[in-house]
Amino acid sequence: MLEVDQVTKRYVGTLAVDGASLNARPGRVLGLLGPNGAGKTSILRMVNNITKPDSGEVRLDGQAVGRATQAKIGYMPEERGLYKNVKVLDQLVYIARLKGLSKSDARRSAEAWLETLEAESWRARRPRELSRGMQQKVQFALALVHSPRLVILDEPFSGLDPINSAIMEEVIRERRDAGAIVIFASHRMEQVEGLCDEICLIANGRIVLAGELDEVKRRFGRDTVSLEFEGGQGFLERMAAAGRIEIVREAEGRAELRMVDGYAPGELLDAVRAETDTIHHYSATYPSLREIFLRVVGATEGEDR
Amino acid sequence: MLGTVLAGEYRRRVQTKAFILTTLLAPIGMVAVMGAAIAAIYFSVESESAKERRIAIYDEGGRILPALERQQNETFQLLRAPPALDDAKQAVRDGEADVLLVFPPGLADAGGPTDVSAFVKDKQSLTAEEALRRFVVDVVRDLRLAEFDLSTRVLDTLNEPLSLTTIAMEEDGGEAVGSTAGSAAVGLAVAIVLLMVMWIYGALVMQTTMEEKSSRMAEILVSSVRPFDLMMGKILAIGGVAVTQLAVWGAMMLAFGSMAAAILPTQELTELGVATATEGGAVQIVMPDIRFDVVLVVLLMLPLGYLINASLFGALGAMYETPQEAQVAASVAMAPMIIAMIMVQTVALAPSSALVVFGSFFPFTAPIMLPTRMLVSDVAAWQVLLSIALCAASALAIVWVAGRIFRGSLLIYGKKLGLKDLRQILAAD
Repeated sequence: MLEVDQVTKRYVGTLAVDGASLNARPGRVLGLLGPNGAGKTSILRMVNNITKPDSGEVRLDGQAVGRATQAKIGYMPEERGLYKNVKVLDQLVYIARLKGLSKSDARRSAEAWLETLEAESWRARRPRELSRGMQQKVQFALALVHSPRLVILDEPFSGLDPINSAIMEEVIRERRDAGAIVIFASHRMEQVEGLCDEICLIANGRIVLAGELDEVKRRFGRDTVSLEFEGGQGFLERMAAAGRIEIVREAEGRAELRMVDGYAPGELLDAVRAETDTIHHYSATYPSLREIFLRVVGATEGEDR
Repeated sequence: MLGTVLAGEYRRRVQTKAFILTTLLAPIGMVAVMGAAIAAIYFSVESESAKERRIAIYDEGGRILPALERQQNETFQLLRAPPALDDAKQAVRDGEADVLLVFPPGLADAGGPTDVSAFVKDKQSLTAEEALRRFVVDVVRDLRLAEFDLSTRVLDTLNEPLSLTTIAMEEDGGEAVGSTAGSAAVGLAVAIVLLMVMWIYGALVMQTTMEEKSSRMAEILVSSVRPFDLMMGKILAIGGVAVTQLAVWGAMMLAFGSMAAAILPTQELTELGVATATEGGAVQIVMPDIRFDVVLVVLLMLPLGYLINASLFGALGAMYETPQEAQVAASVAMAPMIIAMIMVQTVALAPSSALVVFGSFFPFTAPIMLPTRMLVSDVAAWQVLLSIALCAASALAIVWVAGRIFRGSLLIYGKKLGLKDLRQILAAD
């Protein structure tokens, strides 16, 4: 288990992390979510022993992080880094060796990962010859090549096409099922919703919300209605003005609404039927993570990204 | 871990096209330059010596010519100038003689004239002029000496060449032969080797830290390796690259040299070379005897000097955003070495002065100044050991600091590190 315990980190002039605590468990994916500059990367760097907390402690499986734990962690930083002129396979072997694998193990593992990621044909290519998406996959392999106990992925999907995202998601699930601790940080909340078992929302260096994803959502209740229909939507604005609903998002023939003051989903459905004959979709759901985040932190802060 | 970094960095450097090209092409360039220089010397010496110069002697006092007739001269062909000065000058213009020497009367008398004129058609080379001057000096001196009716034995004794050998007396009663110039030359050689290595490879160290920062590889590395191991691995790897490259160059130069020796008529060449050098009256440098302890100190100090300076370069590479800025800082960083090089002569002349003693302990100048000081004076063993220990300790310390700066610099993009940042970086952990 990874424990971040009351950690504070101050850089010259700024308080980056302010008494943050979180736990990540084996066999679970923890989503560390928050806007840019919230302190995600600062926390991850302390977990990686790149920086030390000013106060508090980070422990991996009960051991304070340091030289020994670094070998058990695989890290894909937000700022991607590869040697531009070194063959893909050689980079993987080099990092695996730095993480403590023997020469032959490093090589075997590097080759296996390239195969898993359907990238074995680039083993002798150099990153400067690869597309951004390909480089990203190599970066991903770099974080996994030594089969780490803790996998940390900072914005792993940014700039990746759906097919490669799917491959990576599958690998992440497979690692989780194999008992690894997986943390992944992102500011794109909707992107990670399907992958996280637990979430941890962070803003201004503080953890503002944490828990199992389902449980967190339940905490906010089924107060959200997703709606698709034909016809004008002026009535929605009237209802909002009357204080029955809040419009979370709306587009032509589509809306996400939040019911205010115990206004029941059934009542809303009746009101909609009175306005239009054709309803394609109507469902009462939990709010999206993004919506939850906005409610917790306040709209201005959440939009700031 | 250090070994892995070292091996990885070394392989990455050695496998680049740039490395292979410079390693193979640089000696060819050097050989071309050296070949051109040797050819130039060879042909100029040859042309000058092949042509025996004809000297027309215009003897106004009438005492030079008889003296010359007694003397045999293989460098010049001596001619008697026409009796009228204008005709004599015309003869030079017409190419019948190369030089017209006009000896005024009374040259052999005390208080007489001291100036001999030489008329030439074309400007002559420095060596030719020097040879002519010495010829005139010899002739006039012989003439003046002849006034005293001295025997040839006295004259031969006067003409015997002299050299000066410096012998330093040591406390244990032993004596060491060596001139200050020779000792200074050893210091100078160490300085030049160090400066050259830093010039070529220091930039490489700076480049690796900069590259890893800009390629963002650094973050993955520092999350895997201790910064000290990382920096030390890099520096040693580039040291290895330097040794590899210099060894290849050395081997190639040797090969080219022996090839050249087989082809060129070297014997003639060296004879001519030596002849011109001693004729020109070059200072003869007596190299000190090879001293095992000094060799050992040099062999220890060279890598330490490299470590100290290379880690400094590594730190600078991590601190600055652009190579230009870092380059400026690096030239400042090289100042102590350059000062030490300039001071080598001082070391040889005043090995016990406070400044020199300090310099032989100060880690940035010690690699150059300590061996020099050891050659010219008796440096106590504890001082030698202390100086080496200081160098080693500061090398380790600077590598450590450079590693820290490298790691810390990741956190601060897009701006130079301020003093406050540095303090935090070094205090971290």
